Amino acid sequence: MTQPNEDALQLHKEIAGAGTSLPQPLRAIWRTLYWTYERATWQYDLMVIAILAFVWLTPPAWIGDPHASGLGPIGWLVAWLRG
Amino acid sequence: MTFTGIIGTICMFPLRAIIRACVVLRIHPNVLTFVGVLINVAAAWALATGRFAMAGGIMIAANIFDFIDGKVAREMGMESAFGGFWDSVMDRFSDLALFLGLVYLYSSVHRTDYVVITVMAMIFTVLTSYARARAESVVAQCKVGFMERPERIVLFMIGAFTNRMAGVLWVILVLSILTVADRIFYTWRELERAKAPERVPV
Repeated sequence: MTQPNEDALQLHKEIAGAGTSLPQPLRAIWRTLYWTYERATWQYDLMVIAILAFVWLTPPAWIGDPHASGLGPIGWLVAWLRG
Repeated sequence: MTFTGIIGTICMFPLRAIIRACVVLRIHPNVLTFVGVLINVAAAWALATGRFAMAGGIMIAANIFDFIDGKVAREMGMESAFGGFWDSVMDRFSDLALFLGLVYLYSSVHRTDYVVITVMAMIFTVLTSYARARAESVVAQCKVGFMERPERIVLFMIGAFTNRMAGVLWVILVLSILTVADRIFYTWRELERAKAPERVPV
């Protein structure tokens, strides 16, 4: 009878449980990068909120937007705090 | 229910009426797909000339056609392998047309940095669908990754209507790179999973 191939077994374990053995903060980061959630889930909603926050709140000047005008909410807040 | 789910449900009300009208008028779904592409070309022209709000409005019209073609085909019992193929090819064309509009716009204002960002986003958009198409020739399904076509189109419209196209391009670029990486990883993982039991005799 053939002995189990240890390397193949290890590889299989790693593939099957990709990311699931990580501690919580790292696991959340992994699950965000390796996206497997469906639409209309709370994770999807959270991602949409993060994207909209980036698009709408980031001051256009920070990313050198060639067409947008105005400071944007964060730029306005920074300007207001600086007086 | 999630808020994206609620938005989807609300949007479905007028779309159902349009789908019903197309079914009653017996409009061929492949014609709807093609009309959607033509309208998207008009949106690309509006983007190229810097008329973002107009581009957003045209994109809404284009994507109504794009969205309903499959559903009209189903309701009319006209689903076909060619219809699916035609839809996929036309979708790629629509995507590339919109990016081309932005490339023209940014090159006309001598913004080489944003020309590069737009072209990179375009490359990874094509790779996103190519990775899935090739993956599904060797594994059953490959639907991982966030940035698929509906997300991209909605982002384009948000960028156009709120004049925040640069931010949208960054999001599309970064998330498309991640989506391609996810699909490569998923396909490798699935193929290894299928191979592993063969390597380890029980």
